[in-house]
Amino acid sequence: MKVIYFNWLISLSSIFLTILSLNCSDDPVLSSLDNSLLQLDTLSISSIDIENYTVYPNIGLNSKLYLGTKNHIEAPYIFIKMTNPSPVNYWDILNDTNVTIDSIRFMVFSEDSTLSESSFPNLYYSPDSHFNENTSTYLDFENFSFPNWLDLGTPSLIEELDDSSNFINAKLVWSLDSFKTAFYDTLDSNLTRTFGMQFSSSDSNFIQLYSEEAGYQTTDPKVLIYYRFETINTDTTLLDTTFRTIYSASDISIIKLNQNLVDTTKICISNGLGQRAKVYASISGELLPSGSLVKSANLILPIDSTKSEINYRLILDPIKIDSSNSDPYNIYLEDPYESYGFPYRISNLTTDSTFTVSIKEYIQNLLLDNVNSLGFKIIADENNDPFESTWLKISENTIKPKIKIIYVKN
Amino acid sequence: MLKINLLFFLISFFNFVLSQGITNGFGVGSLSSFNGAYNATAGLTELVPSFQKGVSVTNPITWKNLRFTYLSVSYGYSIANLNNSLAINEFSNLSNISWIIPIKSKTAVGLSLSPYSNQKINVASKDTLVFSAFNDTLKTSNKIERFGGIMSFKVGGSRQVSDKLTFGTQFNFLFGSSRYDEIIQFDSSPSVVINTRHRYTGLLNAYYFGFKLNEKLNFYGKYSFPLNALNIAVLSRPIYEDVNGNNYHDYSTQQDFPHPDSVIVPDENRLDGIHNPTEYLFAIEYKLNNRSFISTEIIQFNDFGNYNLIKVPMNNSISKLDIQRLQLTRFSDELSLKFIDKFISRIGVQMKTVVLDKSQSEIKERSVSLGFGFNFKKMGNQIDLNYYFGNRVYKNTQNKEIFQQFQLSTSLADLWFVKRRQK
Repeated sequence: MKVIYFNWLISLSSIFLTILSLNCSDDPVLSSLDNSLLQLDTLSISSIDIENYTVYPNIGLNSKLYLGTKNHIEAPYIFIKMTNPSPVNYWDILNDTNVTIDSIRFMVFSEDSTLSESSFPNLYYSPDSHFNENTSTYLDFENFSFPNWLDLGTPSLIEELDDSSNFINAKLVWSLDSFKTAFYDTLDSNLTRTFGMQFSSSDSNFIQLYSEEAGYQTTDPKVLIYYRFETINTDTTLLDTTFRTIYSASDISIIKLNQNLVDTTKICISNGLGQRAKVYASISGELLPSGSLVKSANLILPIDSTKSEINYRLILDPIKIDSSNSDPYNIYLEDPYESYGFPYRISNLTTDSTFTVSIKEYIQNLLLDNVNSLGFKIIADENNDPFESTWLKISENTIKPKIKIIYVKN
Repeated sequence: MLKINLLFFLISFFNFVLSQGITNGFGVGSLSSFNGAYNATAGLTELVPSFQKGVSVTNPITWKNLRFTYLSVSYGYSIANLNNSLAINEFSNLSNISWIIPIKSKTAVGLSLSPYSNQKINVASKDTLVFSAFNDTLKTSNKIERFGGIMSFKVGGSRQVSDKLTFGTQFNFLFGSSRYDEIIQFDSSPSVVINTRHRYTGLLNAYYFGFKLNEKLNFYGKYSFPLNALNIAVLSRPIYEDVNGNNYHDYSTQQDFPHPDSVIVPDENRLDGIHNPTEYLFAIEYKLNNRSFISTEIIQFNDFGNYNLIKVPMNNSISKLDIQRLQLTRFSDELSLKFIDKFISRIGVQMKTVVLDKSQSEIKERSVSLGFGFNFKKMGNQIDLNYYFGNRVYKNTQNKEIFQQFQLSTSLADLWFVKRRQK
């Protein structure tokens, strides 16, 4: 019986292993492959025109708030807006008869450890909305002053230190205790509260604060309301002290455009100077063979390192709609070149000699007729220091702006 | 101990280091009818009877000699080895299904489904190329992959017009599809791929005749020509960068470049007359004794197709093919009670000369075939096994290739379409 069982086992194993060995495999056959139609090729485009255009500066999305003058560029005002927090409107605490307000504080934060009283700005308050973070420019505040605003005075300075007594932040704190009634209007439940900052004297003071874009609440401009309330049980009365925080909803530094600083013979890119550049290269869908694939495409612009900041982040965005009026002296309220944005919007840091950015996605889609060829605009990243700038070196013969393309053609 | 040795022998034998055939990369691929044995029931021959006495599953003229309706299924396993390659490649597939109905010993009809050509090949460039661009160097290598093939659905029949003469015809519907990928591989970035899909349709027609000169000598002939030469619907997708490395232009995990939705896939381009084959086959069968026959077949195949219109992996096609075959067949003795007499044995030799279109170079193949069949039960059910061994010499490259094939067939017979008496 055992012998029969063993024979069957051997037979089944033989069949099973034989079938397993009958697999399909396709290791490559080596050949010269002369018939392969895919070929690599290159294209270099050097006929590139660059021109500056000016847009009134708006740095509402910058992670910092700036006040004062630096590099001859003036930021005369800071505005901070506070709306009603949702879902609980903490401003209602100010009108709550069941609680006792201990104190109200307005705070802003700075990374500057050298702040002194002389560089403290004045804080003003208005129960109204005065700016739009995305669109407001100096033009909206050309003859502006704070006479109708409530003057909240100057702050006190508190340095935040870690356990090892290392400096973390400087905190500027204003006491609003005396102005409690100004922050609440029983007739207007949807009150917008705007705080403004300005140096009392027009000297060369300059401070840099964190804006609400800088981080998640910890360093945002904020109002803290400290209060206490009583809870009465059958035989005991509990006294509880607590606080509520109301964060900035939007904030902006207003920068005064100073065109005297712009050398019109050179190409400058700067947020503070409102300088942007339009780059036009004669690229069209016919430039590369039909059906080609762009393996890499880089726009390389030489930088004037003597005047420019290194590691200055520039953004390149292909132009979708051109509504400019071709007047180089015109100053636009809004950028006249509507751009495509993602995925064509690319940013990169400048080096000491060039600004190189990949335009592979754009060139490929230009070949596919998905985008037009109106050129690119180059703007400074919103988080760059608006008082710094970068300058392109385009007039010299040594290094010319170039687009270098490596592509695969069929 | 003997069985264990046999087991090791089988495993070692099937796993012998072998690679895919270069012929898969020519034209529309390697034509199954000229690649080893048709199926195990036929051995080397196509027209000369070798399934049973007077019957060839692949020759409609002989179907009338069957006593029952037959369903025959054949499975094949092919392996090939280039002398300068250590790569392992094997391929197995269902090689034929035939259903044959004899009608009153004078007429027969039949259907069959089988692969017409195998296009599976993977070709890589021998050398790594260095491409210099903008003070940078890119190391690249090219690769071509082709998958799929063409299937053949045949409908045929024959009619005996006299005791000596039988005529037959067979329509051969060709259909199928394949994928052709051309790839540039980069050492430091994703590969660039272009996919092309081919859809095939065509119709061939073959005329057969069988002439029985006397009891000892039979002649068979076949002439095949295209009624509608193979045409190909070619769909070439745009080139893309295969970021996720799956050879498909998609955005499943990582997004290929450009985004698949951003490209417009062109319409199919229909190309006519790509594969335009004509074939002449002449066969003689001589009866040695009551059970043994010796036979010879001579085939000339020409392809007048225009392969310049499509991409072909090996950049060549077969324009002409000459085959000479000689086979000795010993059939079973149905009346014998000896177990050994239930077996059918076939042994044959073949010489094949292939002329390639572009280089006009030749491929010479010398091969032998050894097959057995076992007839069982009253109806004549049959199991057949065939082994084919060939040696190919590519004259232009001096490459040598060893080709082996194993075929296994099962044929089931039954009385179909017979009116049963009501109980």
